[in-house]
Amino acid sequence: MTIMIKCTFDFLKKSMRLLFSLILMGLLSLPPFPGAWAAEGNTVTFIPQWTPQSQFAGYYVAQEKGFYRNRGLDVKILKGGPDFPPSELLHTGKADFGTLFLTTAIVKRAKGYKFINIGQIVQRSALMLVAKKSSGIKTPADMNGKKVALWGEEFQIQPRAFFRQHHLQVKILPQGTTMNLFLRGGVEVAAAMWYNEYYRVIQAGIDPEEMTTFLLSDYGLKFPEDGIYCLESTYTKDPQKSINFVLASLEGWRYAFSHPDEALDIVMKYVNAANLPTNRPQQSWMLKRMQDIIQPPGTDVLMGCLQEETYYQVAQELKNFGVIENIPEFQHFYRSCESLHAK
Amino acid sequence: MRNSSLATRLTIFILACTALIFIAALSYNYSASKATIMADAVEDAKNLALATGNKIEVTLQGVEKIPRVLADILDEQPARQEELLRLLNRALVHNPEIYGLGVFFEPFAFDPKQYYFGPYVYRHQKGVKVEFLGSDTYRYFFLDFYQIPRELQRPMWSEPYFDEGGGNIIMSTFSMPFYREKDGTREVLGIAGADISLMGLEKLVASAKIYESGYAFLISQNGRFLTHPDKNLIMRESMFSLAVSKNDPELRRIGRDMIRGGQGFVPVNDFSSGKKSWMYYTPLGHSGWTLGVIFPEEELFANVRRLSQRLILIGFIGLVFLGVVITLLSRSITKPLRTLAATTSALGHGDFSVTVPETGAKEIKQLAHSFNELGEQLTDYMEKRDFIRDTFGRYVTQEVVKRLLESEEALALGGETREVTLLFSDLRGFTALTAEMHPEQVITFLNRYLEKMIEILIDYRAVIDEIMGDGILAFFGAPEPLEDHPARAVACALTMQGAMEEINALNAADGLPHLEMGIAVNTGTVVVGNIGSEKRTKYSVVGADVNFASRIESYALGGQVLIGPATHWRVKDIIEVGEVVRAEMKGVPEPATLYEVRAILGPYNLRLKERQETLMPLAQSLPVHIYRIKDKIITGATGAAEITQLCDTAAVIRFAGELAAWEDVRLHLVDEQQNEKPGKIYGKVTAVEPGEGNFRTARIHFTSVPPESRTVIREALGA
Repeated sequence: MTIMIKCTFDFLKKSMRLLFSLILMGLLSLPPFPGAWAAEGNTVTFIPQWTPQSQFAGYYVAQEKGFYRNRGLDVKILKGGPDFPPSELLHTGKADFGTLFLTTAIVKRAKGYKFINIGQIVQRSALMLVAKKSSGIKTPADMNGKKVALWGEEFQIQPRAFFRQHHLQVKILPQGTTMNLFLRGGVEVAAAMWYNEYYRVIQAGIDPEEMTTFLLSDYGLKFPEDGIYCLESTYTKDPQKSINFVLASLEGWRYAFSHPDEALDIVMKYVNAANLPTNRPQQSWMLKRMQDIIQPPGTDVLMGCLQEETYYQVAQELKNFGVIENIPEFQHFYRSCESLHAK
Repeated sequence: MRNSSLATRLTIFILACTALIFIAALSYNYSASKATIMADAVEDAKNLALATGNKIEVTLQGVEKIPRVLADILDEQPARQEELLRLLNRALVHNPEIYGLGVFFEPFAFDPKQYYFGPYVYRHQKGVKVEFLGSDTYRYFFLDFYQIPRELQRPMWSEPYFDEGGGNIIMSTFSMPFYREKDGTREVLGIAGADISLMGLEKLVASAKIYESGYAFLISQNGRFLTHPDKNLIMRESMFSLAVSKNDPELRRIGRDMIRGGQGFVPVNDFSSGKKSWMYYTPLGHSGWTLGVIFPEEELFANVRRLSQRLILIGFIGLVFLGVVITLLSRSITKPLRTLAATTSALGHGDFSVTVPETGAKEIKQLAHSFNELGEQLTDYMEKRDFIRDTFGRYVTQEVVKRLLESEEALALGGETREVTLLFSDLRGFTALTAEMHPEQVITFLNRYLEKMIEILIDYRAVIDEIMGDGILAFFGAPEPLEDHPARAVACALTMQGAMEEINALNAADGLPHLEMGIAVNTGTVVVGNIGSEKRTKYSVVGADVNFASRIESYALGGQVLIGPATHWRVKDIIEVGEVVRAEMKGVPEPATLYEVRAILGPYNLRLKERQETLMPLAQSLPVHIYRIKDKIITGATGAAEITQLCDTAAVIRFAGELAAWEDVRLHLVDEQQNEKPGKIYGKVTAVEPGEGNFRTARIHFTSVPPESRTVIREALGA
């Protein structure tokens, strides 16, 4: 009897094991699909800092080409815009990852938001001041006493530093979401992103030859901009997930730069889905400029990395202008350079 | 091209010219029409733009009115909230084009306690709604509709934007600043704004009818499309973004002109279809927007194209028709020419009687007429030529003529040495016989004889060298060589003698004297050829043997054929010889032996008639006078003479006096009274023999016997 039971048990054991391995094999051989992984909690949400455009091409491309999926991430890209500030969404947990300007992030960090930078994407500032030659501005000195339209807060750091550099007294007006104030002549100088508003001005009929431009990074104000951020807790819970997200995003950017037409197709898909009033030439310009600022020629900084020195330069300026009181520690702020390039 | 027919040449040339003219006319028509149409199109565009523009202006101005009025009011005095709201409400209700109406104040400008004050009324489903705009999330100070007119301190229409409601409605706001005086300067107190939806404008612009696929559109002050049949362009693309995506820098240039308030008529490629088009643009009042009108070139010129196509078709058919007509016409013209060509060919082959019909065009008729005349002239010419030849031939043997006409060399002066056989013939005592005849009679008499003799000579292929009155000189064996010329000559001579009977019979019937002919034939080597000069040439013979033949002739009696030794040598085997005469000739050492030929055997087979040559002694001798003739002149007479023996052809006469052998004599029969009877008998002394005493006997052969005398002879012979 025992022998029989024992045999049965043995048999059962064996079959259980067999069954178990079979099930395991079955599970392992299943093609990865969101549902399966969702159950495992690998869905992440990502919020770009503005409405869909080439500024976020790398992420869209990574999504469409499956780079996130390849690293085990099921990414949901939210629609960004003025009503969806990433700092808020990250803070409230509505988004796991988001992009922010370095300056904005430092300010938030100083305010107590527990954000960390897991990947510095834009290495070079694209902020510029534009003026029409017809208003008489050819050199920085010509700006003295003129009206300048600037965006708020952290976007004013570099321009203010610039004015201080050149000992200029200007009348600063807040700039809205369009360049119309500048186009209509309401101000002589306006802030613009090289990849965005500058081209909008050209697309409104002003020829580049008719403008005087001051790219602030040419004036020593090399503030890196877009970076990928998440809550500290998100990182510590699963560092690899964050690293994977950044790595896949970087892969996406690299692919976008080497396949611009395909990348543009993807971007336009998101643009049209969001019914945005932009066009392909605009997005094409933007993508090209993103490459200039994400992979600036002659730079020795690796993609995704933030140098401590640069960080402190930026933070110091913020402090100088009284935007922050204390400078957050770099180590707390930025983690991931080595891990990004460990391979 | 060289060998092409008249039809082909005419067709090609005329068709080419016609086609060129047609093409030139068509091209001119086409380009002129295009130019006219273009001018018309510009006018149409201007008018359309004007009309549409005016309508839009009317609408816009209607909208502008309200904020202006509001600003006016607010300029004067500060407003109170309820009043303001009532005003806004009223204005909105009474102006259906306006979607929303608001008044926005500078910070703390309305109420020192309120940072923002922006009452705004707008249409909402059932009625009108009021909202007080201005908050941290709606900081109107930095919105375009407020900020720009505030900074520029002038009224303006905003750059159109999408309605926040989420719908695809494009809106634009007209902002009118209002002011207050503060410390002597005027500063902006706030902005009165009216929002309108551009849907009405869109409908208005879209309703403009331009050909089939032409259309009107609006662009904003930034060059963006506000209306366009292609919805994808609206608000997204501008003239400048299109310039980049279509790689057309010209579009950018045009766009810049448009937003700077320019006006123009320019060629473009349609923004959506890419078709070649023309665009007229003009600014719309002071909104800063531009109206563009697109004319697809295809449609613009459709009528002209169609017309031109039809013209080309007509032209083409016309050319084909023309080609056919030309071909037919030229064929009908050349038909007589072709007939002419064929007929000329026939003419060339010797048929001069062919004619061509004298029909057709005047020139052709003339040509045909000339041709026919030519035929006649040729016929005449040929007749003349034939006449000449024949006449020529009458005087010169056909053989010689033929030879002469056939080759030029034959005309060359000079001769060749040949062996020929010569024939001399003579009528005995002809001159004396015809001395008393009428000249016409003489010619008739002579020609009868000559005609017959010449016929015979020609038959025997003799070359008649000369006809010297009653004497004939002919030769055989030149120019064409004749192998049997000796025999031939002899045969000819015999035939000639044979013919004399016939002639004499005719002569007797006509009362003309009896004729006797003597023929001499001699063979020898002579020079034969064209003798004389170019002006006067004779195909003749020259040589000793010619003279010899002439000498023989003098020995020939009437009815006799006498041949020389050389001839005899050649024909002796086939001839029958009669008399043999040993003739002594002057200048010839040895006497020559001459042979009388009575017949020729062989192929010719001829025989002379036997003649009554047997002398009959007369019972009664006939007294006769004898006159001696030398060189045809009577040189003397003999004494008394009488015929002792007599026959038809000869007589033996006993005479006194002198007579030499071979002398020519004239005999007169006399009566008892010694009166001469009529009739002169001519004869030749063939022999003289001595007689008794003074008398001698002469044998005289008659050469010519007149009919009277013949009668007497016949009587004497008792026949």
